[in-house]
Amino acid sequence: MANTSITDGVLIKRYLEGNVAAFEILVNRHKDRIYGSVLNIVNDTYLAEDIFQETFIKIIHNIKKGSYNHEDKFLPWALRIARNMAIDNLRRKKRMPNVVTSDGSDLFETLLIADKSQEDIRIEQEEHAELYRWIRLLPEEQREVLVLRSYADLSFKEIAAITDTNINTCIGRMHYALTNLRKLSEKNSVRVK
Amino acid sequence: MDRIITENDLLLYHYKEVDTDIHQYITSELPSRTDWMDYLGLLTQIDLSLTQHRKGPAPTTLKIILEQSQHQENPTF
Repeated sequence: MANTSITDGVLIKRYLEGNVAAFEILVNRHKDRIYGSVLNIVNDTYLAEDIFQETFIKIIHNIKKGSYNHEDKFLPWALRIARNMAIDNLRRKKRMPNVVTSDGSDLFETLLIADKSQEDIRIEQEEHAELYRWIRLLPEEQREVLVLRSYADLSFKEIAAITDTNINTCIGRMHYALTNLRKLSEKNSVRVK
Repeated sequence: MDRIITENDLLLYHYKEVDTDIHQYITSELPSRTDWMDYLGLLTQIDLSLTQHRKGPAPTTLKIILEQSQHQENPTF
């Protein structure tokens, strides 16, 4: 099945008609954004894996129950479920997000930047790794907005709907996140624009 | 432009959520505004940083999900 031009809504419709491959395309299309967003919010690989699985089981259940009526807004709908799952899990397990200091360089994707020396690339990667660690130090509400906007590519309006807030609150939290990241960069004397 | 451009405007500009007239104004003034470029540079760095650390779920998790997608009963409508 050629999948690039098929909308999420059509895939869900086909899945409901019995086409399991359509659901696999849907999962593969959104898995990284949903998993990555959850991981960046909860700061725990194992918990993120559990939440991701629980989220998709619930998605399957809701789709088959006929609860999905968001047409082609699948990602915000799925992220809302994932976020609620994350909060429920954190409460149930009474676990606070852990601050992980390093994920290992093997997880990095190499940036393909032409006309840059290996040394330039190494320095940039170190700066991005440092910034990533600071992002994980941000307060949960700020980190959540930043990740959903920057990583999951949701609009502030969609983030407001997911987090049960309003657009101005989301923009404010993003603004505080940026201010905090700047302070961290100044404190650590690392160049972040 | 009659009003001052705020960091919130720059935030919305970066993510292409700002009104067209403000977008055009920021684009035209950007070359002469290093403070704006610094702010937008930070946002770009954040995007790159999160993208660099992109991860996916484990294959076993995906396998379980896809198995579930096949086995769950269709409800009676």
